[in-house]
Amino acid sequence: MSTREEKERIALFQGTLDLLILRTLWLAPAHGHAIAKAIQFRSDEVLQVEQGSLYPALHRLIKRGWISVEDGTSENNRRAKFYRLTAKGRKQLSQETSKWERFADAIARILRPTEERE
Amino acid sequence: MKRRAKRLLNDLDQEIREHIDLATQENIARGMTPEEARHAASLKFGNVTRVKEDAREVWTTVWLEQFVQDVRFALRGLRKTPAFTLVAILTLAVGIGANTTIFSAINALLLRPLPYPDQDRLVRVSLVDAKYPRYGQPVSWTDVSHWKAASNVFEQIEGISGPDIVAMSGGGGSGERAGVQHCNARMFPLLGLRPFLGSIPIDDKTESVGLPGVALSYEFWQRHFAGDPKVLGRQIFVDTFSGPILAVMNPGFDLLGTGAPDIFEIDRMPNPGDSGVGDPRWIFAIAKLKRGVSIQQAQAAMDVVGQHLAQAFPQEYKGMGVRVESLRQGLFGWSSDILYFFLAAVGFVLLIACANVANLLLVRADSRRKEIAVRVALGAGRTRLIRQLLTESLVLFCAGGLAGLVLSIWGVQLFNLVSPNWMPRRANAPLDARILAFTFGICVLTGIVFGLAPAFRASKNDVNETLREQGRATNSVSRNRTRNSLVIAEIAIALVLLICAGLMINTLARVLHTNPGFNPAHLITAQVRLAGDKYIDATDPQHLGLNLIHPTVGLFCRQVLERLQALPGVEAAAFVDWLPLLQDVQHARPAFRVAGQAPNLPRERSAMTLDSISPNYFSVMGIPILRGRGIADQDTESAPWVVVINESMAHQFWPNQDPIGQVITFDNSPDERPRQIVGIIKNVKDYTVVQDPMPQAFVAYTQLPARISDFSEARLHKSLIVRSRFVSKELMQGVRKTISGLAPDSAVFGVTTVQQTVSDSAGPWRFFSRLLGLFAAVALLLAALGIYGVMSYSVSQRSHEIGLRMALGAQPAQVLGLVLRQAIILAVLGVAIGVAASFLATPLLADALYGVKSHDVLTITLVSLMLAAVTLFASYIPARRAAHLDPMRTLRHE
Repeated sequence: MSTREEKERIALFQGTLDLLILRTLWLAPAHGHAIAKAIQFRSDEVLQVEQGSLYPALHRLIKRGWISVEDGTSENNRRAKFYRLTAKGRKQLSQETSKWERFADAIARILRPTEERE
Repeated sequence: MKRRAKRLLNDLDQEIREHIDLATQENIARGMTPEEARHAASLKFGNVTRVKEDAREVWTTVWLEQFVQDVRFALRGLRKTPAFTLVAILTLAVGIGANTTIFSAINALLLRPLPYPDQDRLVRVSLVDAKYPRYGQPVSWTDVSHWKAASNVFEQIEGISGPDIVAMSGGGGSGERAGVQHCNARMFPLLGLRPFLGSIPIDDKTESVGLPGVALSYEFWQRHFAGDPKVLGRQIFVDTFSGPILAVMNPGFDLLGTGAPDIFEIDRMPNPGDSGVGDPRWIFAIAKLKRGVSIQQAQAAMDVVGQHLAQAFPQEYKGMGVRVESLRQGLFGWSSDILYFFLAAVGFVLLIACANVANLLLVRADSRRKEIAVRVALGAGRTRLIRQLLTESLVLFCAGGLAGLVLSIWGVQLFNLVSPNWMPRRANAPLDARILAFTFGICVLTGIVFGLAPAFRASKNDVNETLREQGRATNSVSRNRTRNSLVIAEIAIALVLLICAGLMINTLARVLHTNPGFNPAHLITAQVRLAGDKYIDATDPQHLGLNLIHPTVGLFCRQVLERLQALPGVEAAAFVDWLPLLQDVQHARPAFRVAGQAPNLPRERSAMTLDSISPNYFSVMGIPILRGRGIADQDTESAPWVVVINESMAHQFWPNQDPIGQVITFDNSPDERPRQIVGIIKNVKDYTVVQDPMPQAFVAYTQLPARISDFSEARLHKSLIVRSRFVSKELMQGVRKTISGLAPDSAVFGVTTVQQTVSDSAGPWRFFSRLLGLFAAVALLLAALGIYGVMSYSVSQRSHEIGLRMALGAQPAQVLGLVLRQAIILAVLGVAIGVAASFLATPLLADALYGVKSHDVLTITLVSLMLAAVTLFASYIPARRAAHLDPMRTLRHE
């Protein structure tokens, strides 16, 4: 795996990944593997992110105060870290979501063939 | 915050393990074997180390931590390869040290604030001749007085002269030369110079009449009077008059950077109503701007003042403008052309040094490809690698800069040693923040620029291939191209410097071989400056502005000639006021009238010099008389007064006429008599050998007026000339003793051969050629080292290919040719580019050249051939090594 490709993909998806994590945690707190699975499931496996890159992203979100971390127990009955959306994160999510929707809408309009527009 | 991060990071391992375990379990549930399941889960997770590093990066101010890490790593790496490190640091030290040295001089003269109160408001006001607008010219006391009265932009405007060399006697012992600076009393507070002992009355009376005594500089007081506190009130003779010592000034005053003066004379400020016709212009006007007035505003105001003065005194200010510039620019601005030219030259040296180091870094990068490949394989990103390699080159360049800074301490001393005495010595100034910033700046700049390419190359290699190569460096085409371009650039830059140096050395040779118009062989000269009240009475009791020269001067002249001629081995003795080509000459320059002609403007009329001579002066010096006769023994005081002129004067004042028989009268004495022109001599080079002399007139020392209004110091100075077949130290000592014996209180100095005086007059060219020659030599050496390094490396890289060729039957001579061919191509390209570039550089030198065109074909050809020869020689050593390779061994080595 060449480093350049990797860098590009991370650059492209860093913001998206953050958004997806926040969206996942909107429903309920979750541990790392569960978040990874949920993201994969929700995006119909389109976003082929290496699952490992989830963790630096989680740390980044903690640092920004959008999520918090607490200890819990996993399905295996082992100690695990659970991540939870904070109030600040909730606000951020709604802002980001509407921004994304507007963006996606604009893209869709541009890409739609002209004849369909009529 | 910090603790939370630590805990998160500590728990990350466990978290990742858990993640992979869960994923594995899921994969098993989907029907994979346990091994497959774990492998798939790991693959999906990605690079664990990388994830941990990225997570850590989230929490740290990464760049700083990594930077410290990189610096440590770089230091370790550099220590592991001491030979490489030493060569690189030494190379850079030379390049950076040279730059720091020249920058120190620039900093001292052109950047550092001057050590005067309110120095940012101090300006120099000068007159500018419309014909030579480049530099401001000195002004007269009357000019200062006019400006003082008419301008409203200055708090103060005062005058001060440069240090003049005059005679001093008194205070015990023999006379000696002293540097005297004239100023008006108010200049002292303007420049913040206060008395250390005694006092100087600063009031209107002092301004209008001056002071009858002198002030000593602290340095002179220590040197000559051993710091004797009872020195105040003691009478000393200075220049042309005797007076008491009134004060000792504080130490450290050095206006022009050429050394502290010995004595201050406090001159009077003339009445602003005076026209000042013929008042000599030899004073620096220094002014302090009023608060809130900018230099531009002052300039505008002085332009108006200048126009008004030009209307009031058209004779004095015709074709003259006024210039206001910062004091630093006004005093030292003239040196900026020279210094920035030198800075460009050492900049070239630095470029060559950097190219060498860049080459070394490229080679080093090659030898480290495997290490780098391993690190890439372990997950190091490319930016991260480049950053680390750049840090390494930065550390290297900064180490070189530090060494360069140390070298520059000697560099500054060397610079001061080779620079002529007119070059200000403020470079003695201590290291300051500006010099450190400059040095650090070039370290960082060159470190990044020259480290970038090697770093890029090193980081851009294919991991798989490199690791598979088993450590054999491949001969990458683009890599060689970079190296070859660096060598070509080095050759080209070195050539530009060599051509400049060659042109300067060529100029120096021509200057030294120019016929000065006299024959300096077998001649000894000595300077005497008569000092004491027995020679001159400057008390001027009738206030006519006249000094009385006593007959003792003439008597001394006659006696000294007789005694010198009596010395064993002496063939003849003669004298002139000022020997041609002597440094610091101060010829008398009186105005004169031509009988039967309308008077010219005073400034134009005084554009000639007057010397008194002994009758045999022309013959002893071997100066040819073109027409008429020279001065003869019959030209005594009572005989009709005569004058001999030079070609320049004849051409300038009598272009279509025979000057012989014309009668002229000098204007500087009521006792002067009309003089008939009796002869014309061939021109003699006077200030420098490169320019024709100005109009000169010579009169017999016996036909001089007793009272003179101006240039009385010229009457007290004599350049004695002794002809002897055997010039020896003993004879010189004899000459000195003879003169001192006759005038024990006077200053006798500069006893040397006339040949030496002529050679000394080439000082500026010697200075330029020495420095440029030094820079070019260093450049040549560095370039040769660079070529040698690249060729050696190229041979070692090609050893496999060469071994193969030899195994297939190539002869050593063919191999030699193969390597040398590469060198010749590089040399030809480098020389071609260098010659082209020199056409851009050498015109900057044109002003300093003499007898050589800036595109002198011979110089360029010779220097190019020399450089090509050095290139070939530097390549010959590795080429020979290649030719003597043992093919079996190189092939087996693979």
